[in-house]
Amino acid sequence: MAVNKFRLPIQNRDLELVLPIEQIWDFSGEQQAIEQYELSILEDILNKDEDFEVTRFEHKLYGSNQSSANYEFYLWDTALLNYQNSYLSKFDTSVIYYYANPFTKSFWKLDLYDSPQLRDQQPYITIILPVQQGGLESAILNSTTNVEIKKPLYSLDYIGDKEGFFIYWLKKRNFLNIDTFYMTAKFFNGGTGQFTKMMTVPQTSLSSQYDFPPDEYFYYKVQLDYPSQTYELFTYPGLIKAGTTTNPIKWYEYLNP
Amino acid sequence: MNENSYRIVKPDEQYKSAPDADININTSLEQTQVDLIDYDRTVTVNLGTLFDGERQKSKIFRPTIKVSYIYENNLVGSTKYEIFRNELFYVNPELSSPLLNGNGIWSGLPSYQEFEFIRTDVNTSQVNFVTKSASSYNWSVTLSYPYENDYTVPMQYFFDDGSSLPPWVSGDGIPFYIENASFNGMPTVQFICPVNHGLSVGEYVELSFDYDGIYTFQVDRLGDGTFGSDLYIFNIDDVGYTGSTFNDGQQGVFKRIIDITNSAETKSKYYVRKHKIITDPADSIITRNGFELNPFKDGSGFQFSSLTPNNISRVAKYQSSNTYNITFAHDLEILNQNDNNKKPLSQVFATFQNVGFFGWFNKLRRGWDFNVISGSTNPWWDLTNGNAVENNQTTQFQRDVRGSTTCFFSADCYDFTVNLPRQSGDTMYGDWCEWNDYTQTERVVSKYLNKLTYYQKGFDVMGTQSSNPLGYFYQVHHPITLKAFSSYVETADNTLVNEVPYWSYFSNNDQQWRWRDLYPYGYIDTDNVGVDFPFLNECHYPFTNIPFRLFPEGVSFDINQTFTGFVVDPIIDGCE
Repeated sequence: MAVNKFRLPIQNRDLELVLPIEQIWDFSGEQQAIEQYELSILEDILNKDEDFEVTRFEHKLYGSNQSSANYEFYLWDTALLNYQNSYLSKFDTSVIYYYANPFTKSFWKLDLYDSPQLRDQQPYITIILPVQQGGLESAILNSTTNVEIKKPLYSLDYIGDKEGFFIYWLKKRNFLNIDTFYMTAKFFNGGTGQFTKMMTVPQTSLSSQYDFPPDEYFYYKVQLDYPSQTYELFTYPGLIKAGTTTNPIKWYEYLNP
Repeated sequence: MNENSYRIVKPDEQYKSAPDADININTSLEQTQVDLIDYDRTVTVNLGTLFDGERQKSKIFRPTIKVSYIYENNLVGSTKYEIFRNELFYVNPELSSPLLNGNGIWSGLPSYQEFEFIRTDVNTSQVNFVTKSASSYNWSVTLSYPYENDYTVPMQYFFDDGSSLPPWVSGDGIPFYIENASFNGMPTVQFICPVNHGLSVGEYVELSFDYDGIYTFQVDRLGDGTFGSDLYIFNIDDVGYTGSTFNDGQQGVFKRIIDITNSAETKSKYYVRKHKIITDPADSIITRNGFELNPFKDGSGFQFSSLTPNNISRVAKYQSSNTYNITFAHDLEILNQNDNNKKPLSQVFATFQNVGFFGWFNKLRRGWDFNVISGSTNPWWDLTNGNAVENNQTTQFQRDVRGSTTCFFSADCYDFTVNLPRQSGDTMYGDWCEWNDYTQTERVVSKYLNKLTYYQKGFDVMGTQSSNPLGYFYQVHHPITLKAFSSYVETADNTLVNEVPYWSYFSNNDQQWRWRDLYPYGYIDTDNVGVDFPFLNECHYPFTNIPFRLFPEGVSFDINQTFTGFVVDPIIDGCE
C-alpha cells in the first residue's frame, strides 16, 4: 500500500484520516556520545597522556645585562659568637682545603614551596648547591701555609658555577599552574649528618629571637615568568628584588634555643 | 496557522454554484534520519592501542641534538692586534720573543675559544662579555626546512690548476667533461663528473649537446676501473661516433633519464633547496655534555712568561674535544607544512651558522662540497666571486691596535665583522639535489657549505694579502628526520583519485597515481626505513647525533666521509 497518497471520496458522514506513522527513534549523535564516553573511561583507566616535560628557567637579566644569581650563606661561629660567611665556622681549614669527606659531602639545600604557610605548603623543587662551587677566602693551613679555601658565597651564572642557576620546572601550565614559589634554605653538614635551617635575617638582630612569625623570616620569593622562561628572586615579605650582585640573597643560620 | 487543525469543506459548498468533486489530500512526510548502528558496545582496554593512537595523532616534536664537534685548528697566522696576539697558542715563540733577540712577530694558533659553541673567556677585553650570550658569540643553531626549489643558482667547478668547467645553473643538470678510453679493447666515451652522477647502468642521460640530432644516450658502464670511480664516471660505448662531439675535453651537462620510453616523466630535475628558518637563535638551548668528549685529544701547552708578548705565563689551549647538546625552548608543531617538493614535511634541518662575534672572521662564503679541492684553495671562494657571498646580514665594529674603541690612525684601525645570526623567517640556500617524479625520490647531489676566512689584518695566515685566503669549511644543514616515506612506490589506478594522498604524482604514461606512503611512527621496514623515537608527554622526541666538523682548507679530506664509519671485522682473516 502506498501510504503517501490518500483519496477521500465524498460520503454523507464525517471523515477521519488516520495516519499510522511508526517511529523508532534514538537521540541524534548518541553514537558519538558513546565513543566520547568510551574515550573518557579509557583515559580514566589508563591515565591520559600528560605533559610533564620540564624546561629550564633562567635568572632574568638585570642591571647591565647581568644574569648571575648571588647567594651568601652565614654560619654561626660559636667561638667568635657572630655570623661568618665562611665554612671555618663548621670545619677545619685542612678539611676544607683537602676536600675531606665531611666537607665534600656537605651541601646547601634550597627548597621551593608553593606557600610560605607551614600548614598548607607543598615542596615542589629542590636545588642543591654543592660546596665545591662558590668563592674563595684565604686561610692558614697547619698554622704555616697560606691557602685559598672555599667559602659559601655563590655567584651562579650561565658559565662557571652554574649548578643551581637554572630552575627546572614544568614547561606547560596545564598540569600544575604555579608561578610563585617560596624558597627556604638548609645546610647539610657532612661531618655531623645534620641539617641546619637558615633564616633570611640574623637571628641576633631580632628583638625576640625565638618568638617570631616563621613565614616572615624563612623565605625568599621566586617568581617564574613562563613566556620568557625566566625567574626572579625577591625578599619576602618585602618583595625587594634580590639575588643580584648588589643585593644578594643572604641566609643566616637559625639557632635553636 | 495551526497546522494541526484542518477543516474540509465540501467542494459544492465552497462558493455558489460550485460543482461537486472528490477531494485529495497530499501528505508529505519529511524525515531526518541517522542510521542506528547496532554494535558491540564493549571496548578492549589496551594500553598499547591507546598509546599508539596518541602517538600517531601527535604533531608536536621536541628535537634533541647531540653535536659531536670535531675541528682541527691548524691555520697558523700572525697578528699585531694586541688582544688577539696575547691569546694565541704560540708557534716557535723563541723566534718571536724580543728577550731572545726574536723578530717580535708573534705567530700561532687562535685560542680554542674562537671555535667553541660556548665561550668561557669572560675576562676578555675584546667585547663586553655577557654570560647569557656565551653560547651565541661563536655559533648560531636554528631549525629550518626546505620550502622551495631554486633552479637558477649559479655554480662553477674548478680544477686543481685553476681552470674550470663552464659555469652552469643548478637546474641545468650535472656537469661533466669527456675523456676517450677503452674497455676490453673497445673504445668508450668517459663522462667524468665532479659530483656523484647518481646513474645506473642501463639508464639514459640527456646531454646538453647533440650528436646528429640525438641528445639521449644509454649508460653502458660506470667507472674507469679504479676504486670509487663508478660514482663519478659513466661510459657510453663509442660505436664509431665521428666528428668532434665526443672528443677529449668536451664539456657539458646531463640529466638522468630512467626509462627512455617514458623520458618526459622519468627525467630528473636538479635544483638547490631553499631553506626557511623557523626558530630564533635564542630558542636554542646549547649546553655542554657533562660526561662525553669526542675521541680526539685536547690541544694545549704552557707558555712561559719569557716567551709571550705580554710576559705573562699561561696555559694556552688551542683545541678541545667538547660535545654539546641542543634542545629548543619552544615545541615544534608540524601541522600541514609541505616540503620543497610539496610533500608532507618529513625532515627539518639543524642549520649552523658561524657568528664570529669577536671579529676574527670575514663575512661568510657559500658553496657546495664540489667547490672544495683536497690539498689546495679553490677559486670559487675568492672574494671577487659574488656568487660565493653568503646572504646573511653583517655588522662591524672598530678597535685600534690595543683594543681601544677610539681609533686615530688607519694603520692601527681594525674593522671587525660580525655575521649576524639568522632569525625566524629568513631564507637561505641549501644542498644541491636531484628529484625524480617517477621514483618519487630526492637525492643530495652536493652538500651546502659555508667557509670561514680570517680577517686578514686581524690574523694573517697567508703572509701576503690575498683575495682568496685560507679558511675553514663546515656543512650548514644537518637533517633531523621526523617521519619516513616508504622505501617502495605505491601505485593506484587513475580512477581512484579520491583515495590517493595529495602528494601523489600522476603518470600519464602509466595512467597511474604514484607516491610513497608515510610510515607510521614506530614502524621500521626491512630496509631500516622508518622512525621510532620516544613518545611521551604527548610529544615526539627525535634525537639526532650530528658530527659537526670544521675542515681546515688546504688539507686532504672528504666531507662525505661518515664520522661513524668503521671497518667491519673480517669473516675469515685479515687478508680480506
